[in-house]
Amino acid sequence: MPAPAADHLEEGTLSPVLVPTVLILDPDAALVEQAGKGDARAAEALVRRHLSRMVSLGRRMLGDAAEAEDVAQEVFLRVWKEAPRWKPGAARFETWMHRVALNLCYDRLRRKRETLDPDAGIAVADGAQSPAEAWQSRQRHTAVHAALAALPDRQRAAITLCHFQEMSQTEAAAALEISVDALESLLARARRALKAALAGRQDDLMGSVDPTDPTL
Amino acid sequence: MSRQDPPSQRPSAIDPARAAAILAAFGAKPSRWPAAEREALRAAVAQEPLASAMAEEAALDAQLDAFKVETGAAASSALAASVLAAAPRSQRAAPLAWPRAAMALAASAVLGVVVGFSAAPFAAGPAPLQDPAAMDSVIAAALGEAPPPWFDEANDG
Repeated sequence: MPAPAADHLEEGTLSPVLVPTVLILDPDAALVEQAGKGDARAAEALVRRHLSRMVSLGRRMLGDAAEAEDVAQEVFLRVWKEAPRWKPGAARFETWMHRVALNLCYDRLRRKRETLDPDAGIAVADGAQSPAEAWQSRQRHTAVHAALAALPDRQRAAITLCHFQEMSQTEAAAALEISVDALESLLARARRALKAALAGRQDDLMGSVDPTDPTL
Repeated sequence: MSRQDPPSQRPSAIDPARAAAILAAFGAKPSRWPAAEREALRAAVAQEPLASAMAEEAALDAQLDAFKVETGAAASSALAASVLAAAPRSQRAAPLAWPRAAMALAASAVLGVVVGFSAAPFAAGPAPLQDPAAMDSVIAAALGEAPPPWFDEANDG
């Protein structure tokens, strides 16, 4: 039976991939297979789906836009290398990509180990804001950035995956190669440290969540 | 909306210490809570002392959410092009340049003849294909390779 054409591999139209031991719904599996065979449109679909997420992950881990793009590019070089021999396994392809990206970020963080410049790389300006709002926004951004940068790498990675990348606990734990319980412990320590670092800045951002809101 | 694991059990009462631990780890948004404990926790946080903890975690969530929006990055088209240039290519997907150029020339010649004949009766007005951009589109379409705006992705998740 011929492989499906890339035209039919757009998001939301893929068949689930069944793995003998674990049922995995990996929306990337068919695209990866086709990209590995040299299908340019499958490669484009993977780039559309994941490149921006990889850049965002790099920004949140490294706090530097240029380095984030370098990491994203390196992730995809590994994707292209891995694609021809990729076999669906216990983790989704996207989880594997996050794992690769995190390891690249860890390497870069290890290499520099210096105080991150809170003003580097990330533009916060919003043309719709007044100067006062823009200033407040920048102050808040700088404080959160500094608090995140002060976290141990693994704690920052846990927050990045669960809060910023919106991965499920199972996916985030798989990307970090830890148990779900260990992930919960990392997150709790990270959030405790963030709250301590940001204490005093919360008055202007006090939010509330209605737990009965079904949209949450 | 985060992608969360499916619930695996019916809601039931939750131990207050466990409820506090979930809030401390995952924050105040129910969509981030473990699916199996979500409904029980929804009921528990409406009352003290969890209501206070909920407000505290919501404040941190608000700060992180703002940061998330500010650091959400759409990859540049230059980066995307660079990444795609390194993608595996099959023989069929990467033909030599000269046959494509020859095909384009041939298509241009055929189209020129067709346009010449069909536009003659309407010579007083500008022919649509005199627009270089329109001509490019027709040639590309004739070759079956109309360039799609393939990189129109806006943002992250």
